[in-house]
Amino acid sequence: MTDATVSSSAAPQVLAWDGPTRLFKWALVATVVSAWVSNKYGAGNVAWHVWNGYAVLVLVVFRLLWGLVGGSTARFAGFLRAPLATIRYGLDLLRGREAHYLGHNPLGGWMVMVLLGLAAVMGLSGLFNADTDRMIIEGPLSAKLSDAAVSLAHRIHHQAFDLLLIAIVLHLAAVAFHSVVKKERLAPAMVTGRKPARDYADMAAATPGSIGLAIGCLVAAGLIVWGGIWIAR
Amino acid sequence: MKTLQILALVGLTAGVSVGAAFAADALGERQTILKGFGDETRPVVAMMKGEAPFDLAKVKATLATYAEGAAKLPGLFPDNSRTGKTEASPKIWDEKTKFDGIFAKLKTDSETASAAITDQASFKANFPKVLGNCKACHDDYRVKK
Ligand code: HEC
Repeated sequence: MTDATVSSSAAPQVLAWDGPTRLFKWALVATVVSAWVSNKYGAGNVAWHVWNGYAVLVLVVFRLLWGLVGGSTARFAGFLRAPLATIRYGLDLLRGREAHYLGHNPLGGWMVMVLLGLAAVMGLSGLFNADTDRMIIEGPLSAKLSDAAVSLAHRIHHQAFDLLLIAIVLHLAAVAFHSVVKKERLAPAMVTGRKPARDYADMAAATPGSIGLAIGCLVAAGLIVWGGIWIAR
Repeated sequence: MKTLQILALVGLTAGVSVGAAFAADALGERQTILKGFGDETRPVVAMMKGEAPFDLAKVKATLATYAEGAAKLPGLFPDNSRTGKTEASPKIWDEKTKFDGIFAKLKTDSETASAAITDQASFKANFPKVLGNCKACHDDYRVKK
């Protein structure tokens, strides 16, 4: 026991996730939780829910930009694998002889895209959504739409939420599986950014993205979201 | 004996039709009150958005309409008014106490807000809390037809 503890804590650690990637991830979690809470319990302050929606959109756009110029494990080109390679990884995982990844494994990489996509659909449909009477809560782009269009946005907003819940459950189940069965500590790595060094299939250690570029991506994301809304209004 | 049977039959028919009429009345009456809520709310929401000038008397009148309607509405969802041309969710009758509780809260919140609102700033600070009850109830108990 003591040996294992000593050896594991003494094992060399390598960077897996840079700061902006981790900050983004937990900011999105917090915003999505807050959006749920504000819808359920914040009826008296609908601005809270609307601002959660803007924040989700800014975060998603940030992540899309960061996926192009961010740290090596955050880049789409690094973790998105072809469908066949992804299936092969899944089969290997079932047989217990899968390769190990410092960043997202092929299935996890697609999960990231599903989660981002659903968050984007929630944020976008929210822009066009409103309550039935269009009095109490209104997305910034709902005013010009017909009742039928608002009602379509409403349905999409709700169905995307149900799908998002399913995706979140799958995501948590996968993390739990890797932690309990595979003894990989994925959640702590998303907090500290570090993982034990081993024979990773994708890369030995991550190269962090630049903080200046991260700030640039965030500013650009804000401009894209509010600029887009401003133009569309 | 025959007379008694006829009398019973007539009584039963009358009872059923009165019940049905009451259900239809309740349905119509609650929709009239709620539609009135909507018509009263629209101009007030316009004030909130700055699209119409602030009018204290109008705001207070609207809050009085809410309080008055909220006192009557719990009695306008009788068990036999579930069906028909209604957006009322069947869940209402499974959770009638909780449902009525939101009307009670709408009533007290409207009265509290009416006392608290004296100018535009206190209007903007207090009115959304009242509207929150509309959204909270509609989210759970009003279904789109
Ligand atoms: C406790 C629940 C509850 C509260 C609080 C509530 N409503 Fe409703 N509302 C309903 C239900 C249920 C219906 C559908 C009634 C029906 O169709 O039979 C409805 C329907 C409506 C309608 C459509 C009426 C029609 O038939 O055209 C409007 C408008 C409306 N509500 C506005 C409001 C406003 C504004 C408030 C807040 C001041 C409010 N409601 C508060 C439950 C509620």
